[in-house]
Amino acid sequence: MKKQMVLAAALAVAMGSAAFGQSLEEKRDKKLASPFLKKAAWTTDYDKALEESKKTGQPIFGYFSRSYAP
Amino acid sequence: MKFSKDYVLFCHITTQIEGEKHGDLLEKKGGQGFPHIVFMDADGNVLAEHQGERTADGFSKTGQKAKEFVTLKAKAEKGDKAAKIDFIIAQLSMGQLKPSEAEAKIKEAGTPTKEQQEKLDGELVNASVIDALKGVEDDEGAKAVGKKFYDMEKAGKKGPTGDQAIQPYYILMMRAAEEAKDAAVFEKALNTLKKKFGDNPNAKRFFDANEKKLVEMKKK
Repeated sequence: MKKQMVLAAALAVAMGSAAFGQSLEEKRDKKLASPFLKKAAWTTDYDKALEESKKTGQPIFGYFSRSYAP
Repeated sequence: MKFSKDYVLFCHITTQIEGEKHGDLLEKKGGQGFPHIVFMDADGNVLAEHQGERTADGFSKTGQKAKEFVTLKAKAEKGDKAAKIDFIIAQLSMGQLKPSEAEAKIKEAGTPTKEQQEKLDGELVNASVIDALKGVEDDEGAKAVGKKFYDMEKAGKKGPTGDQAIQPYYILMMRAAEEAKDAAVFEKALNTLKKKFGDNPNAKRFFDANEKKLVEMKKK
């Protein structure tokens, strides 16, 4: 039993450190892979959004989120 | 999904990665927290900030305001005199123009109708209140601004009507009225807030507490 608890604690520490060790780039890429961004024609490129708005005359719906924290 | 066909969908992710292009875009568009949702024109000007429910219907309502602004802009650019004045008033209401800039532009654009003048006067009040609030950094600042609003009320000036300005304007005025032991102004400000937010269950505690305060003030 004690052995199992030690193992669980070690795993938790390992998992925790992996999460903390995630770089800002990795966190950004994870956010960019979010399912909601695939459900519609989202762009994450501001310049492209401006260009598209100029071309189509449609206003831009801007959704601001973050990747560095949950 | 109709909504996605009416707008260019743009998602900005603040990453805190140094040197990332447009990394400070949230701040530039007036955002202070997440998520921040705005409608913008093709030049990146914020046309409307969404603060209501986060549903397609909720977004569409805010989006409609943004679309009306774009239509008005196009009309003004084509030379429609009335639209030019309406557009300046709309820019003022969105914070794209300072009160002094709007007044100068109106002079150039021509004489407003009575209706436009009333709207302009209302928006000038809203803008001046928001401007005064921008300088508030601490409680002392809030107190000073509250005194200013209280003096405006005593001088018989019209209060703001815009959603962003009305709440801080009357709350800070109430604080100044309490300090001045002026139950009449306190009551007037409280009633104005009740008319606007009385149905909001989240505001019940605020109203109950201030009703009690008013009773106490009237006794003295």
